[in-house]
Amino acid sequence: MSAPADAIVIGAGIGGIAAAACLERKGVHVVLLEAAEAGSGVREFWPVLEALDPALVKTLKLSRRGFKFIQRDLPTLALRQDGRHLLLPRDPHKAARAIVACSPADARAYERRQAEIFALARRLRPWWWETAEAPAGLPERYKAASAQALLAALFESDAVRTTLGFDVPEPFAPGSALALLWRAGQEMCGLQGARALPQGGVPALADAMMASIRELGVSFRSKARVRQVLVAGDEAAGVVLDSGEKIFSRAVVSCLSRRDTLLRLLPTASAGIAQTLRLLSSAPRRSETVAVLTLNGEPGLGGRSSGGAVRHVIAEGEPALEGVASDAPSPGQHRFIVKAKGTPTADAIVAQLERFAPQFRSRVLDIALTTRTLCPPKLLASAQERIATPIRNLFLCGRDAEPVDALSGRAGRLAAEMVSAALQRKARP
Amino acid sequence: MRYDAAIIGAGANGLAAAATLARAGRSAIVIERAEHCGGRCITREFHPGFRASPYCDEVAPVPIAIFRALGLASRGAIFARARAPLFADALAALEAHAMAEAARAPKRNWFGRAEKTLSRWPASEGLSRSLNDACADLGPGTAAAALEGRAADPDLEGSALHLLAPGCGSSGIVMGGLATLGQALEAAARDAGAAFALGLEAADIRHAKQRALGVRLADGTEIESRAVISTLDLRRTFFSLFAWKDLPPAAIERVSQYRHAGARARLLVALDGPAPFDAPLQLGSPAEAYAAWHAATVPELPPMTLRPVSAADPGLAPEGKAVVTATLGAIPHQLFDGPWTNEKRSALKERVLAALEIGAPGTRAKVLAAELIVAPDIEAALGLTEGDLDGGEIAPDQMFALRGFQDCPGGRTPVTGLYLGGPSAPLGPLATCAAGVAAARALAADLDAGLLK
Amino acid sequence: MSLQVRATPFHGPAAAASRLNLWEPREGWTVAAVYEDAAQEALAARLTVAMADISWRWRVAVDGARAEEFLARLLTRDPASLAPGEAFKALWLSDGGALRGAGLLARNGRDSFMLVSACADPLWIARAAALFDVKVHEIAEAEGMLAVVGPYAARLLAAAGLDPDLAQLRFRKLFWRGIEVTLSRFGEHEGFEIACSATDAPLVWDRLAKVGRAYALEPAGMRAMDILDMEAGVPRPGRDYRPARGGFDSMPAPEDIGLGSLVDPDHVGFNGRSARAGLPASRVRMGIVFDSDVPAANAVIAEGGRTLSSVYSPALRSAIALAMLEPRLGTPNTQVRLADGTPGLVTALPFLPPPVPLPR
Repeated sequence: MSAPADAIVIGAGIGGIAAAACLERKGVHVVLLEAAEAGSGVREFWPVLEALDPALVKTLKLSRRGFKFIQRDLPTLALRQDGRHLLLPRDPHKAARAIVACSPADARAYERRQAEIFALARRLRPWWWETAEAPAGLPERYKAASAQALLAALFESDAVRTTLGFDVPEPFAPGSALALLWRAGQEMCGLQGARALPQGGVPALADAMMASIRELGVSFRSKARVRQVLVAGDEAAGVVLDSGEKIFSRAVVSCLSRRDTLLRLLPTASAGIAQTLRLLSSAPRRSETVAVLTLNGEPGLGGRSSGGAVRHVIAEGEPALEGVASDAPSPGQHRFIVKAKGTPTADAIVAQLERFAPQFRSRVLDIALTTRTLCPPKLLASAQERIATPIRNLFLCGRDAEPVDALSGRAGRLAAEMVSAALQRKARP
Repeated sequence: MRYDAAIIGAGANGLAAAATLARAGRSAIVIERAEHCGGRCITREFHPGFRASPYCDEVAPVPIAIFRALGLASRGAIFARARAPLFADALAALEAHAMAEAARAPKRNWFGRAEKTLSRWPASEGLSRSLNDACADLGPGTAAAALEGRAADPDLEGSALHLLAPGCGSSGIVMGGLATLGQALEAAARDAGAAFALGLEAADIRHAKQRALGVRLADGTEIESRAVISTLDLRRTFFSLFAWKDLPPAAIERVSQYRHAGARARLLVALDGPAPFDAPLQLGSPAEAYAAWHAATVPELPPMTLRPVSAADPGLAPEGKAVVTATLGAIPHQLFDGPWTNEKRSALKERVLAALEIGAPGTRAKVLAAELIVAPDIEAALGLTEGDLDGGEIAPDQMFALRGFQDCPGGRTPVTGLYLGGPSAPLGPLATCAAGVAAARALAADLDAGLLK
Repeated sequence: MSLQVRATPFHGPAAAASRLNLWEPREGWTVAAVYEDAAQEALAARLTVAMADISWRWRVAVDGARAEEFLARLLTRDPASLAPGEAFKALWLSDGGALRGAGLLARNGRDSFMLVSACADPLWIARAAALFDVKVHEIAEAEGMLAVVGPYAARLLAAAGLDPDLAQLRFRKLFWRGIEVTLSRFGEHEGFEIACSATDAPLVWDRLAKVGRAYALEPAGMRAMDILDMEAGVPRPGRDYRPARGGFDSMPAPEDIGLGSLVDPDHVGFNGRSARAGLPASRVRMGIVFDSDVPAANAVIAEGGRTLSSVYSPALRSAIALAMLEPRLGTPNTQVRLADGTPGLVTALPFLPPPVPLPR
């Protein structure tokens, strides 16, 4: 048994580290527990960052810890079978000029619509970025509309529709129009709607964040897998590690999914019988696959050389995928990282790429696949609903607690705010 | 202390009157000769372990408004098998009329004056038939049931009135015998704040110039009150509580003409075995017995109702044993050849037990004890003239408006401040507690109208 | 739509005793509504003794090594306080704190319990039990249950050969001249219950009927028992409130129904506790005695509030009703009036004390 902490964070994922850092900055003494052997448990899945919380970057002063972006604004290259590829930068006017070749009407609509969407997305930031009670200013039609229907109403050419619709995990699902707004509202390196490539990838981000929490004085313990969350009545009271060691605290934040936290880490049915039954019957359904391809030459997709990095998007055919070039492991070799929707085989991915880059297959030296399940989007849930649990002073901060499954850290920051408020309420008699 | 009302008699009527007055904020005192309250609403242990209500098994129904107002159910008086009486609507109309009359304070006491107002009573015309006539549609045993404990010629015009106030099957039984009802009423009166003077007999009604001023008790104590309610019957009230010279001659004549018809006798039987039958058994014929009663002799086979009271109320008898009551009618209160002697009592008892054996063979051998109560005993215990529980013969010239003093509505009398709240009042035999409550209402109305200073 | 009669184990003798052949559905079972006269049966239960077929009550056996843990999470009171042979009344709530059910938990052994309730909730409880590897199976099919209520209940049982020496909320199994029965005192009317196997049910009925003649025993139908329940002021599901059936419902709260006393404030970690608002009820539950014979259910009270269910009480000779009133009307003997003018008197619950069995 060790000394009690004010708060325990389970899991040193990006959300967990964010929660620990923000809590320590507020003066709450945190113990961060990670099951991995050393360092944070963050492994890179996909190097492109779209949704990293700007407030987090600023608060943790990550730039001072050596965290840099090699690409601050990745344009999107939509590859088409007919060879008329679309290069869409973030700037709507430049993008419109590119769309003119495809459809002049769409070009005009694009400028107008993108500006509207971006403005609306900014107005909705308090709902997704802070702990607002209700989405103020959200028109009703967005709540039920699908992204596909919205894009079909706004644009006429298939190329523009499918390219923009690629950003949404399920473009035909009702309510997915909100995902477009969410995407449009993100901000990377001060640029709204941008995609960025960090130097060193996601592990570099994790290292920078770990450095910052070390400086703040967070107690970090690796090789500390949590077996159970201690519950006193309906309040979280600490954790029990696999080793049997008990650590007491006044609040617990978990970077694991809601399902894992409430079903595995709590005593049976403590989260509520109906809640437990619902979680048991709702397993995540969607997955995505990342393939790391090692090539002996340039990818050559779309007949272009990769002068100036772009994010390639293939939305026609199966599987739909996006790819970026990454740092080469050794001279003469090129690395190309591809993220595909669903769980296609390596062959299927390579075959898809071959359609847009002749003799692609012959350039492939090695291919490594990783698959993971996607958490369903919760765009209409408030921060309280996503982050708080039926157990008092137990909060979630991982991917599961974000409105869309993306690497962000925002849930960690918000969880820290909620914990701090809860502890203050407890202190007041 | 000057009470608002002095109530003579702590039977059901007296207790209900006291409770009603006390709940309305008036000061009331109840004077009772016996040591206990209840009048006929008592249960007596007539043999060790065996109990029964001595004078009657059931009483006329308590009007629903009075039952609710006095909270009798929550005080323990819950009636089982509450079947609606015959002519329930007529009874309800009569009660309403009587209560309305009582509540109307007259401008002055008009008794003996030229202007005589006869108020019309509902249902009085319909019941002028003979009993047999009226029972032709109602079923075979109805006539006998209507005459339980009474004597009447069922062919006489107007005898159908007996149907209106039958003594059986109307209120339903209450567990523990009628004492439960008596205790509930006493609790209602006490909880409302009425005062009690038990064990004291009222000897005189103090009055001056036709105005009742209080009651003088047998030991000389005087109770001052603004009004007096007497729940004794008419004859007893006027002839034993007043000196003759103090009453106007018209009143004396009226009271002298008032007829009582004491015809009840009761036999309480303790049996060493379960009840021989489940439902009441009726024997004898009232028509034939009437002639014998009229001649002041005991009939050959007196009309009787045998009731196995412990079958429905197991608490009255020990485990495995039974109490059977016999209610006899047409038994004269005074025999032609003298008062009731022990031999005459034994002879009657034998006759009844023989009838019981006929009705339920083998019961005679199980009789542990049998107590006979005849009219003089009732008179001695309850103070009712001739032992008549109805307080006067049920006849067309003595019912409704004509019961009591016809020119004094609502239980009032020629003596200002004296009210009849007993069985000789218009509602007396028709419903339990109703006469007392009507008298209380009349008293309250007169007090409010300033007639009783 | 099923046209079949779902007969309880006592259906045969009940049908034979029924003068009017009137039946009603209760929790899917067919039970006698009235044998001859509901008012008379209700009075018999209050004044002498009555027996009623309550086999329609939902009863399940809860068995498993973690049964106590499961029940501690399910119920608003801690089953650890029960010894074998004891029982208590408790509620179970949804995740949002709404009342899902009210019932009685009896403990047979260390890992074996029985739950009895007037509102069946089989799916929820079975699924919840499965989370703890606890088995829940229905026993209402195989076991009949007879209630014996009234002042002479103890004497009747003694005369029939059953020792009635049993405290409230206790039960015991015993052999009664060759058949195995469970004698218990679970009900609100302080009477007894006899549970037996379905095959023995007619024999149990006959034994009691034979001895019952000396105690004026009457079979009582559901209408009579409903009158008794109303006079006892106990809220019944379906009649006075609708038990919540959504997993996350927050209405009705136990305090709104007047069952707040069945939530143990010292028991933590039961389902729905964290969601309970903890505010005092804004309405208070009282009884009303009307100056009328006509029941007035769901009627608006002019001074504020409304009645729940209502019935004619033959004991009180008035219509009575349960009502939710504003606190300022909550003192007994307050006069109120319905919207149609019927006057009534507010009274504390219960309307009448239970017919406690007399000692032998």
